[in-house]
Amino acid sequence: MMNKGMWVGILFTFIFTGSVFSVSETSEKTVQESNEKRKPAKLTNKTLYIKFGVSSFRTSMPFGAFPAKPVYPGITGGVNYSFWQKGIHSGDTGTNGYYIHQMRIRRFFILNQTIGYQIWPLRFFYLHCDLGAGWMHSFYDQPVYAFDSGTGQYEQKRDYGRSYFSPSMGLEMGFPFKSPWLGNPAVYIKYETFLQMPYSQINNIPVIPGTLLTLGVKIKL
Amino acid sequence: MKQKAILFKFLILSLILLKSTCMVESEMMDCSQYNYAHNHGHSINHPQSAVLDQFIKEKVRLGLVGVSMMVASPQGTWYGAAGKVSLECGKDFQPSHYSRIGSITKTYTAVMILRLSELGIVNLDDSITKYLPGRITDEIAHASVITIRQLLNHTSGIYSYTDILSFGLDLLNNPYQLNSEEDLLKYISGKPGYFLPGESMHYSNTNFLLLGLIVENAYGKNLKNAFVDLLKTPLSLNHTFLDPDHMIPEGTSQGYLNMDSNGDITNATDYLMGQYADGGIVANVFDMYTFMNSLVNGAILLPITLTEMKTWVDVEQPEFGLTKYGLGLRYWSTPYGGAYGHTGGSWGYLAEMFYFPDHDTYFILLVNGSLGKFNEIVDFEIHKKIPELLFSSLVP
Repeated sequence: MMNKGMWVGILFTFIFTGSVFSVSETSEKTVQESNEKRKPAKLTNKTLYIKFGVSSFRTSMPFGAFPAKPVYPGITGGVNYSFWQKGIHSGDTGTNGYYIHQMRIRRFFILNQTIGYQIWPLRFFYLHCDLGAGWMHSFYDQPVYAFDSGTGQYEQKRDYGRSYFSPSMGLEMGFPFKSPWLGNPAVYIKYETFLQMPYSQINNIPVIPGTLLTLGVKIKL
Repeated sequence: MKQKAILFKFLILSLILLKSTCMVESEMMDCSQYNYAHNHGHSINHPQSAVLDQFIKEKVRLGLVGVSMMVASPQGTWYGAAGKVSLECGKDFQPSHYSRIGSITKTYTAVMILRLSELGIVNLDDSITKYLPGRITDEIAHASVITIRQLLNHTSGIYSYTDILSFGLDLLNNPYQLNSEEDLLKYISGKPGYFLPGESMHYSNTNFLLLGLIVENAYGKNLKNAFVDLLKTPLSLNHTFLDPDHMIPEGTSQGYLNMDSNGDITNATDYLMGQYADGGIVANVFDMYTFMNSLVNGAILLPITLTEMKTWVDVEQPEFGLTKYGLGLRYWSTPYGGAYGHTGGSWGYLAEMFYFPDHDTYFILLVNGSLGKFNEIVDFEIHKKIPELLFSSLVP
C-alpha cells in the first residue's frame, strides 16, 4: 500500500533525476572546453562529477554519534553537477543512490536528489552542505508473513518492500588532489541524516530518522 | 551517457548485494523445541468450554498468530489454545507452551518486594537511597525522597526509559542488543521527572527496573536467583522463567510484530526489550494461574499485605477500563465488577492476567503477536468482550 507521501517522493526523485541527466549532457561541452584550456583541476569548475563510497548507517536522531555499533554497512554512488560558481562559492545538484544493510532487520535503497552549496575556505579542502528529497524502498531482512483470509492462516510471502518519502540533509568535507590521470579525484567524508516517512501508520509512528557516515571518492567526468 | 552507464552498474551491484544478503535464518530453527507437554493437573470442566473454544478460534481467524487462554471459576476450569506457536515450524499453539508475559512481570516483582517487606528486609516507606548505590540514585531526580512504595505504585515521578526517544531509536537500530540495567538507567540520567514524588501517577518501567535492583541489593542475590528463592521454588513455578541474560528459554512461542499497515508481520522473538524486573518473565497459562491463585489465597503473601497491594491510586489516562493502580497491580473496572492483575506487552507478545473477586474467576491470556492489528484484536476483541462473555449469563 503506497500513500500519497510516497508517491510524492518517487515522482520528485524521478523528475529531478531526469533533469540532472539532461543538464549533464549539455555540460559535456563545458567539460571539453575546460580540458582544452588545461586549467588546474578544481572541483568548483562548472562540470559533472561522479562519486562513490562506503557508508555506515545508524537509526538515530540527526547528528547521532559515530562510530556506531553494530556497523551497518552500505554503498553510495551518484553524480553532482556544479551549475554555478562565484569565487570560492558554488552551487550544485546531486543525484544519489544508496544501499544499506541492517543485518537481521532490513535492507533498503534510497534514490534522492539534492541541491547543495560548496565553499573553499582553503585551497586544499572544501565544505559542502545539501538538502535533498527522495524515495526509500525497504525490505525486511527476514521472512515476512501475510494473513490469508481465505485459509485464516499466515503464509510466508515474497517481500516486495515498502516505499517511503525520504528528505535528507548532508554535510561534506572533501580533499581534492591533482591527478589528471585519475580524473582529479577528491576524497570526501559526508555526514547525512535521512527521515523515513510515514514509518508505521498503524502504530502512529509518523517518522524515524537515520544517519549515514560515508567515506568516498569524487571524480570529475 | 557515460554517467548513466556507471549508475546502471551501481544498480546492478546493489541488486547482487541485495540477493546475497537474503539469507533466511529461521530455516535453522529447531522445531523439536515445541514437542513438549507436561502434567499441569488441570482438567476442562467449565460449562462454557465450547463457547470459549470458539472464542479463541475466532480471534485467530481475525488475525492472531497464536493464543493461549485459561479461565478458572467456581463453575469450572477451561483452558485452550489456537493458532500457531511458530509460523516457521508450522506447529500449533498448545496451552502448555511458554510465552513472554511482558509487564505482568511487574506483579511478580512487586510480590518479591512485598515478601522481603514481610521478612523485614526492606521497608516500603524507606527512601530508595537506602537500598541503591549513589552511582544510580545520584542520576535520579529527587531520589532521596522517593520511597519503595512510590516505585511500586508509579507515583515516584521517575521518567520511564521507554518514553525516551533515543531509547526507541536505539531499539529500532539494534533490537537484539542486550542492555544492562545501568545502560537503561543512562537514558533517564539527569531527567527532571514527570512531577514531584507522590504528587501524581505516571506508569514508568524505570520504577520496576529500580525495584529489581533493590531486590538484588537487599536480598544479596541476582534477580534470577532471588526469583527462584522467593517465588519459583515456594510456588513450584516450574514453567516460569526470569533470566535477564537468557530471556527466551527453549520452547517459548515465536513472537511476531505488525509494523506495516498492510498487515505484514515479522518474527521479533529475539528483540530484547524489558528483559529485567519490568518485563522479563516467560511462562505458560498454568503457571500464571498458579501464581495468581497463590496471591489471591494468601499462599505467598499475608492477607494484610495483599490488602496493602490493593491500595489504589487513579491512573492519569485510563484506557480500556484500567482505571487504577496498586502496588504492582492494575485495577480493571468492568460492567460486571472490578478485577485486579496486570496487562503485559513486549515486542512480539501480549498478555493479561486478572482475577475477578466478585465472581472468584481467573482470566489468563497469552498472545504471540504485538503492535498494529494484534493490539487491536487483543484490546477490542478480547479484553473488551471477555467480561461479558464470562459473566453476562450469571447476572440475574
